Amino acid sequence: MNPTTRLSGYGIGLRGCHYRDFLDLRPAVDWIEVHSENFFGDGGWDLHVLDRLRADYPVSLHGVGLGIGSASAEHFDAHLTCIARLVARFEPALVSEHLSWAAIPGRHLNDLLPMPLTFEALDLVSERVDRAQSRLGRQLLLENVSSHLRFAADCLEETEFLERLRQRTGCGLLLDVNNLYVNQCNHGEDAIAAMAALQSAPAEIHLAGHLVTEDSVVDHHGDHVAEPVWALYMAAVRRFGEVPTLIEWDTDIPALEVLVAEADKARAAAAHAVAMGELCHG
Amino acid sequence: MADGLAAIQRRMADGLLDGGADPVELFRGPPAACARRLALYRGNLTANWQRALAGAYPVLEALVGEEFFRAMAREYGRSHDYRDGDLNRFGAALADFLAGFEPLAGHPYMPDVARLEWALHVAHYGADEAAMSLAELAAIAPQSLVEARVHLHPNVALIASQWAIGRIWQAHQPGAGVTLPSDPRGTSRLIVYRPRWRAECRDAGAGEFAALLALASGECLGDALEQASAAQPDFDPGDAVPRWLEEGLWLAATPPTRYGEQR
Repeated sequence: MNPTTRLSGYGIGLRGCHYRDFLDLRPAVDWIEVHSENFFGDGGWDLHVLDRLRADYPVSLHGVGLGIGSASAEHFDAHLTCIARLVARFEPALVSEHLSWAAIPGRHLNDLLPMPLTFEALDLVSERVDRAQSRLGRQLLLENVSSHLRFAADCLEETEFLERLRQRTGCGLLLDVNNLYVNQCNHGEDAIAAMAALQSAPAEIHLAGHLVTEDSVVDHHGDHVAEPVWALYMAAVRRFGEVPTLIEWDTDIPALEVLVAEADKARAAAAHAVAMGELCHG
Repeated sequence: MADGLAAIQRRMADGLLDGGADPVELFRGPPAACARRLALYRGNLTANWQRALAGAYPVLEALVGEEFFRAMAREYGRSHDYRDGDLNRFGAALADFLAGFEPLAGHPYMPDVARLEWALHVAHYGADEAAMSLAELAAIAPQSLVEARVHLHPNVALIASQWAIGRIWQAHQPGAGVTLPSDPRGTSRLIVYRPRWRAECRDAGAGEFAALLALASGECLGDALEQASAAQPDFDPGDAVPRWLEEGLWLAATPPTRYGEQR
């Protein structure tokens, strides 16, 4: 088996607590995604595990620390160099980052902070995506994030921002359907309308669980995908067709078979959505 | 004129770090609701710091308890201008921070526990360079060996302390069968190393510790072994050297270059 530079089907996020099971069992998922920063070390167990799994699974590198929308760029090139090192070593099928910011001069906040959705921000992120794609020599995907706050200065919807970014830079889109739902709850943004702002299919879809609290819905990646998110996912598949889909689980991580079953559920939901679409249009 | 991107991000970051007046006017929605939601991001900041530190300092967390550890993580995170998008190195300055951290003044061994845990953390992520083998050692002529410079493996750290940090650390390792000492005093000489994938630490005798310290500071093997005997009269290099090589403590030994030799 020779995992190519392309990937399709249904994957799960590889986390440290499942390394042993992955090595021993090689579970039936189509691909795996890792957080790039967990592999920034010079060597050791994590890189060794990924080396071995890379022989059997296509890999997607998903960054959480670049903060591509930070006005301050002092951390940018060094971080990009670490990603480039991983890209050269693992030849991932996909490389993605978040549409978010994280740093100010002299300080990194290590979070996925929401972007002010302004034209100035669009110019800045476009320039950064160009830099990243030229440094990595390949397409970068940008993901829509969940947020608790929207800025008074905003003048674009998030997916509209991402669509413009895609047109300007040739980057790809990673559509997180749970994040669309969370933002629908937190800001009254219509998730279906948000998807309608996209002119073509995303390169990847994320699904995860969220937590409803009194003040806000939190994208905590600590539960099964919720029913309304499955419904949105099926709407996404009806609109875009089948898209490589990932199950993310980062807090209270259950046994590996729970994640594999969730990925199978996504596979079944997508098949169902495709069949329904054929009934309606065929 | 409205704030530009850099100013908006600066004001939001200051609001998250200072915990002073919330910059609610930056956001849409009722100010009270915005303040509560800003607090969620402030909580993320602490939670991410805490998670990063807990990954590197599990023994420290067990010693002080989760609640104290969280408050300590927040103080450390706020006082420490971390600039890296990778939180894996976030804890690098924790031992020095703890040395001046007033709430732990009654537990002066904590900074050394932190030093040990950080060395283990660094070794875990260190490069996979092959260690020197016994066969490689045997290939060096004995008279050259005495004058050889030994490069310790980059995943090796030598940690000395006036506290029983080795036993304190061992007491938190499952299956080690070591109980937490009631008195934290007691000299520790510890070798941190990574035989394969898992970083470990073990007690070193006074002799071998003196020898390895001498090698690390660039002295030749003969001088290092002499220092070992001085520190510990019954030190036996015939036991120690093969053990060091089995444990992968040496990266390479460079015999002296003599005049006229091509190396």
